[in-house]
Amino acid sequence: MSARLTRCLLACGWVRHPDDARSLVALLLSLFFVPPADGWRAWARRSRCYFPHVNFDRPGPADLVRVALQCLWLLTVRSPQGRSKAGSTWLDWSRAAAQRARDRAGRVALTVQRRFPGLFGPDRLRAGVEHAALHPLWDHRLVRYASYALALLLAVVCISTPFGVASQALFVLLLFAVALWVNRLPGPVPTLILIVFSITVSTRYMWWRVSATINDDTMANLIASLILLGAELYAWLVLLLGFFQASWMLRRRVVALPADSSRWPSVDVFIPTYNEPLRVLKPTVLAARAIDWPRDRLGVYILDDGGREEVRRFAAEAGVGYIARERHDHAKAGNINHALTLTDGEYVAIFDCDHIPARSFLQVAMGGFLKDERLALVQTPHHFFSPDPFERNLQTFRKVPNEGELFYGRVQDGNDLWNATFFCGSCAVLRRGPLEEIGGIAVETVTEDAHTSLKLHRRGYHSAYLNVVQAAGLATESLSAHIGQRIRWARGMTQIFRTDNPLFGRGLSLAQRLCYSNAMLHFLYGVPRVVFLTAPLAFLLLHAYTIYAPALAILLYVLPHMVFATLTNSRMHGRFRRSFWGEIYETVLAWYITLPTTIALLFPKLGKFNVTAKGGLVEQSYFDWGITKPYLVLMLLNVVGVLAGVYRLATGPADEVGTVLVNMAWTGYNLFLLGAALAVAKEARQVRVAHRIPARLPLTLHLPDGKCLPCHTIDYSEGGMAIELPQPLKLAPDSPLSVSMRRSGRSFAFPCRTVFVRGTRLSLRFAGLTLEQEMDLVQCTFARADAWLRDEERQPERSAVDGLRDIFRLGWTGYRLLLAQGLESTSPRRARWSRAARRVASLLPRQPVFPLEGHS
Amino acid sequence: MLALDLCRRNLLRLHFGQDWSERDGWFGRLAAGDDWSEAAWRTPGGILFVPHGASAPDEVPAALYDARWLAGELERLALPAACRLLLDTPGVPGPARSQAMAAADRVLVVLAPEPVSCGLLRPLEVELRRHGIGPDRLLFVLNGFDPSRQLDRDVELLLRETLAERLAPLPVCRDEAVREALAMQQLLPDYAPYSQAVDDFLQLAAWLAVRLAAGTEGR
Repeated sequence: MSARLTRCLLACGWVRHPDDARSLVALLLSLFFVPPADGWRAWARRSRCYFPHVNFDRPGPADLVRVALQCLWLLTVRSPQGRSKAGSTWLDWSRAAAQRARDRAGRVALTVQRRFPGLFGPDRLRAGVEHAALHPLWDHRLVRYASYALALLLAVVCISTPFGVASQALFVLLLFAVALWVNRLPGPVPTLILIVFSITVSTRYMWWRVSATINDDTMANLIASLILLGAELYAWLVLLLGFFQASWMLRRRVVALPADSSRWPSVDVFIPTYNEPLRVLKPTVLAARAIDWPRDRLGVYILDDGGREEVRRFAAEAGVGYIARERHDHAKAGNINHALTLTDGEYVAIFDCDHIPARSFLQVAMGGFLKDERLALVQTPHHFFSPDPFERNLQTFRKVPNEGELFYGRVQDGNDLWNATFFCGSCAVLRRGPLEEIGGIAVETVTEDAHTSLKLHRRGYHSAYLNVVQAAGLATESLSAHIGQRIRWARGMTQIFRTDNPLFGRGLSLAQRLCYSNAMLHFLYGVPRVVFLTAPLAFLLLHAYTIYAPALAILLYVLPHMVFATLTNSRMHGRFRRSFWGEIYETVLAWYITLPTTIALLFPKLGKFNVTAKGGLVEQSYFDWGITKPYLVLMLLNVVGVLAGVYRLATGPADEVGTVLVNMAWTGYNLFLLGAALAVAKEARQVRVAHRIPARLPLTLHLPDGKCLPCHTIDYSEGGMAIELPQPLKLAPDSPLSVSMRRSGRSFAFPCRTVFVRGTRLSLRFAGLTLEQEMDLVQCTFARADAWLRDEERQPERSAVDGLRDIFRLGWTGYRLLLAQGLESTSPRRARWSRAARRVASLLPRQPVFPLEGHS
Repeated sequence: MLALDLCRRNLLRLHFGQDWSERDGWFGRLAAGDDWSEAAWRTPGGILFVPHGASAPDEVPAALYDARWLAGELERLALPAACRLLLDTPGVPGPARSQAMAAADRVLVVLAPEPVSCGLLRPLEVELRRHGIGPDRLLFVLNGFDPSRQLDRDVELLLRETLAERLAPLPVCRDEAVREALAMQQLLPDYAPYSQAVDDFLQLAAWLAVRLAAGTEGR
């Protein structure tokens, strides 16, 4: 009752609000205005949100202008808060309308599904589909060939029948409706159906392109349209091969070793290194030494091509072999081959010097060898605990699947079905006999790994891919290094394609030939990608009709081709790559691999090995202008293309409008792709020498006063840890502590020092570890058998549209960064100008910034 | 839960926060001919605790010469089936220790992480076999373990090899909080709820519960 009275009096200005100080200003204000319900002070706080660029605590003369302009702005422009409440702009209205439409569609769909449960219940449908797929009828040879023939006939009809615009529209719409319905069903059989749909639509498109759209009125037009057609044929071929390669995942299980460990064979672990710092090499060697395997049958060797004294000393201390050589020919391959002559284990496990193996690595990988005598290669995935340049610069680490995940998650598993697993140079075990039979690791090309497995497959040996992460390493540190690595892969694969083409030669099955060819053809994307990035310009700038067809027909053929391919790929690969992200990866790399692959295609014998630098830091954010140059040129061309398009719209004939719009849309998409490429080139700061791996491991913290606390790690690295304390604690910086962890029934203690404590978060660094303690630490952290298992869980993408949205967002980011970079300049005169421009810009009004709920 | 201190040194009471000057206990009452179970205390946590009580060095009540006296007495108490009984025995053989052996289902041997602990195992097993307790009814735990000391770790490794499943999977850490709680006359979980030792004791209790449930009906 009294509260209401107070509120009432407050509203009439009779009572001072308890939050407000007693001041003359407040009193005067109260005389003329009704005080706000929560007091003047709160009102002032709220009002400041409307002036985000004014510092009221230290007002300056320029603020008068700012406030005046902002008031004018506030009076004329609706604030975001007001807008969301009012909901009256067309944007909100259309959003609401879309939502209503979606709701209505959902209700209709639900009614239909209730009416015909047999047609829409995913489980029942899946059972039905799989029952049909596994029916014994298919085992009958006659039935099978008859249905192949029928399917072929149908496909030929679907692909080659010429349609008018209306019938093509009807055809693709019907097919799309069926595809959406099929896509609802879980399981691999519907995926195969979608693949067939996608192949049909894409092949129909290619058929149409070849048979009806080649422009041969002038030589220039013919050449331009043939170039585009060639690029499209390449993309189509890679799409088909990709479908074949990843159509069915084998998902091989780990084969258990015999219980009697005396029957386990001897294994040599090779860790080739060239110039990587000892800091990077150390954890790998220590973890390799600790792999769970009979001591007398495990030999660990550092293969140091740098011939460094400190590495030799470390090897002696750690009790592992050290192998260096006089001549340094054939880089990593030569290094390993040299070591093969000096060792005699029955198996050879190879780890790049920054891939830290889990202690269970051999027990996971070796089982298959004992079961299958022809098995010569077991490959496990490469997993990275540091962000690669894409992830770092786009800030997508652990959020968006990275470039390698598609290959190790899906492609290798698909290869494995056809006994075509590639050797990837690290995290793999090879049987020595077959390896020596093919003359050791292949030295003819710069991708010695894939070539080695190709040679093994040619001899009829088997391979296996185990999709269990059993080692983890550092990703490349900078974009230029990353590009360097991809150039090497692209060049090497092209070299193999020329010198030892998998399509020809003896020993391979058709499926193996296709898998290898796809891997190699895939790296030839450079030229086609550049063609796609410039193709619409041929029309916009030069007025060349590269596709000789009306705009509507182009849309009706090309859109289904893209939509079906995206839908199918999203279903197949959604967990391992977001839709459209492949385009970003290709766009960034295309320019750089174009020349090397072309040269390798023409002169396969040229080329040297370049080592990928790892484990470094980027001390300052910077824009890699050198790398972006080609993209800036392409971008400028595209911008000119858009302008030319606008000009053509204004002045060109009316029947050309559709074509201009299609080409402008294409250019616009290209511009966003190029923007995303620019965003990647902005190298974000990377300050930590050691990368921290998030993990929740139990440990005991031993305080200087003899008390012990049970804690959990938040993250760890070679150098330190962050741990979560059970209660807040006061600790001086640099106070000596120790932590102990338990592993297989034993305790290990590590001396360390405080870095800082914040609440219950304690950050510490290890201090004065002996080599043995370092080894124990690696075993308790990096080399745990389950260290990398959590990372494998990845949800499938929600919708392919998300990927498209990513492209637009990242493209936009790229241009914003470019603009910011352009303003920030080093020359003093331009710096003065940009300062002045910024000062003027700071006067401009802007949208109010409202804090989130719960903050003041 | 009932804890009974059988050791003449009468120290278990200090962990329960009993006053240093308190002299009452089952031993004195038994010697005086009273009902010894009257000496029980109940902690705020609901644990029944019977201190040994002060005693003259060579005094032994006649009842203790009957080897199954304690077993009979405990039966007479008719404790609920879920009630676990913990008997704290003297470190050296004697009548009280023999009483405990005769009454117990399992024997939990608390070992210090010292090399001598390894030498203790053999005589202990011989002694227990004399009381009809086979090695399968023996459980072990390491107490006061300091992982930063090499010898502690070596002893654990050695004991784990010899004792295998019978050694508790986690040792109890050497944690200053244990001594401080005693000095402050508080129960450890009350004094330092977040200490490693509390965690270790909980783990030990869980392990014991599993081991006892796995065997015959335990007390």
